[in-house]
Amino acid sequence: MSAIPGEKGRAWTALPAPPLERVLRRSQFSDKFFTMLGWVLMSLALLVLGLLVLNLAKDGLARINWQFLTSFPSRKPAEAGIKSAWVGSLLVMLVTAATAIPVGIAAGIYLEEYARKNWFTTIIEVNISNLASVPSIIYGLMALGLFIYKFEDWFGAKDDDVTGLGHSIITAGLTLALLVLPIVIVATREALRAIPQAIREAAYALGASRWQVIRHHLLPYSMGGISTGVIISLSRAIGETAPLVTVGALAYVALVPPYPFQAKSWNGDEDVVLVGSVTTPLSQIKTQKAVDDSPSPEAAPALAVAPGTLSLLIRRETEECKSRPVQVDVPVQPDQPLSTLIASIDKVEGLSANFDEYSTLHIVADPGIRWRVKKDTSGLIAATGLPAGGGVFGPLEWIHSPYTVLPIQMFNWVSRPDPAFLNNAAAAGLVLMFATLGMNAGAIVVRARMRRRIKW
Amino acid sequence: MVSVMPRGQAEGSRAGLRASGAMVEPRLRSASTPDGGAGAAGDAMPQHAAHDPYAGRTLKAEVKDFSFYYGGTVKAVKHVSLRIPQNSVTALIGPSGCGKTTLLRCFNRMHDLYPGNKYEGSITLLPQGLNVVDRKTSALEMRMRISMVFQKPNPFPKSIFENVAYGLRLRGVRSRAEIEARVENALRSAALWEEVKDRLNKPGYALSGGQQQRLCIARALATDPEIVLFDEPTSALDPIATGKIEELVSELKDRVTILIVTHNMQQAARVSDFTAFMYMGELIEVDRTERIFQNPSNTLTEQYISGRFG
Repeated sequence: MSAIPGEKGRAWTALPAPPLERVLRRSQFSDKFFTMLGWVLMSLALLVLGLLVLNLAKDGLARINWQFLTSFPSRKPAEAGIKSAWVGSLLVMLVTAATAIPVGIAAGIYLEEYARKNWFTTIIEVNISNLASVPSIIYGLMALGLFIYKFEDWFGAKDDDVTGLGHSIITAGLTLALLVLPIVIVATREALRAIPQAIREAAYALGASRWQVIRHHLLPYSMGGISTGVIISLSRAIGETAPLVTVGALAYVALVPPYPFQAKSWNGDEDVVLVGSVTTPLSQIKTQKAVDDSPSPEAAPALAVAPGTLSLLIRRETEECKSRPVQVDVPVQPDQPLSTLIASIDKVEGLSANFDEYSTLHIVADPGIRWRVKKDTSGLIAATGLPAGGGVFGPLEWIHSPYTVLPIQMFNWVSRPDPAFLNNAAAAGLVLMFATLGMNAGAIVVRARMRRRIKW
Repeated sequence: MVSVMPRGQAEGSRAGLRASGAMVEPRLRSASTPDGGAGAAGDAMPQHAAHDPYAGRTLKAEVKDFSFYYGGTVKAVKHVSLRIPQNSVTALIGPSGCGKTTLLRCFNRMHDLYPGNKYEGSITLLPQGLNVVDRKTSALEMRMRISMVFQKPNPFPKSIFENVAYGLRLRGVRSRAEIEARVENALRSAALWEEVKDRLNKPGYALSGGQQQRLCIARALATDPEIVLFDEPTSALDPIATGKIEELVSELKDRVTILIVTHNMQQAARVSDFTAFMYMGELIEVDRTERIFQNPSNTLTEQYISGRFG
């Protein structure tokens, strides 16, 4: 660059450059300028976020109380709550986590540690990154086509609403799992890639097999990064609405899914508006699965019960509304087909109105049994007996329940004319934001702790 | 570095290599006779040449016409034949990129971890006569019997105790008492016990660089390996830590056979019994260390030793 004294006879000359002071002043100025710029932009972002939160808090904070968290939605804003919404969000997240985490981590490990680098894996890698940026509604449409229609075609018996996944928690959970899977895979791969090759070689050099290296070293050391990715992906999923609208989240759900083992009786639990038996314990009722799909009374499940009068609390539900629970006394004969029992219930005054083929009648007579009743087009009633918490999914029957989630509940309230519902929406928004921020804070804590524990 | 060396000399070195190959030929043949008792071959060998560096030594491993390809095409080690005497330190020296580390990593099949690599020829572990680089030989078994210490200290982000115990756990040692005894033994052998005995549950990376490297040595020794490979173990350490490691290497040869790659010729002179000089993937000369450094028979070796290239 510059002349070196004595080299090839060139004389030592001053550097053709501006004075040192000026150069230093300029670089110091640019340093300060960018520090300032960073501060201003960050404050701006925080200010906008802060204003949003404040606005939400102003509208909603007063509504957040025990009643709000433990009530089902209602036509009266002051009585409405988010119980079904947060329970739904929680359960959907559970399904999402239970599927996306193992599959995503396994896929990440495979791509990073096992897969040969060739054109095929390159295509897969590129596509996984691309999937992360696909609009979520696309996932919703795909899930509608696959989980609901195709699964019904493949596995579902016609007119049987038990098989197939339907508009249920599991459909929603799987849809969101697909949505966050690329994020989990990418996070896993990044976390694995951050582990120096020297650590792998150290383990291999001691005679560890590939799986032992993964199990004893790579997974523990990358857990911080992986769990951060998982938590952040779940906090994205919890706020998603678009895909859930397409797979049939309900805006209005006034029940919580059955508990796994129904350890707790519905009776006496006022929050559970599902219906209970009043006088007659139905534990001796046995169900028979219908032999075929024909809705004839003979094929319907029979009741094995002592003759007498059955007192039931029943409530009718459609997707639009639900009736108040009504006590019904029904005479029963031994081995009476269930359909005739239902038919006699149907005749009870005030209940038969608006009872159409889309209605679902829940008779939760006893912790033991839950009936799902459906009228078909011919006017006959097909009834399917589901042992409570049993059904085709066994103790996982809850995954097959209808559901709503927090953001959908918010939408529903926002769209109502009564301004008091806006406060409910704001309150639900605060709860949702609390959940999201809480998860992100968890991710930060996990990451910080792992950083402290693991160094290379 | 090639440009430094006149072409004629390079040719000369090849010729020298061929000559030395011819020299060892008869002995290699006698060692490979079916019932020749490979372990005893070194002792019983008749003195064909005037100078036999391995006289009176039992062999631990024998490299025969061994070549190695990276990614199936780049030949990084070319037709190397080398013998590793038991309970001795053999140093591999040579300029950067000469293939010495590549050769070292063949001994525990580290190249298996990356796709497309290919071994040719044999590295025979004696006295069993097991070919290390044979596809049929288990790489895991070889790595349990031939352990390695790397260039940069690479302790696991686990406790000091768990670092040393890991090899034992892989070997299936269950007894807590046994593991504790062996961990202590390994740490003593690595001259680290006194420094860490009160903080065995502290993380390994909390130690200084030199201590970390000794921890890695303890980790490599814990399972009683037959050979320990050192890949420039002191290149990331200061002179004091280097001194300790060198002392350790000299002490350890009573227990194990050591193969050490080093850039530092003084180090090779200080710690090793035998020195092999490699250049561009070929083994140029191997002899007793004193001879290599005082009276090398190859001009290329002499030039490298005297610092004229490399």
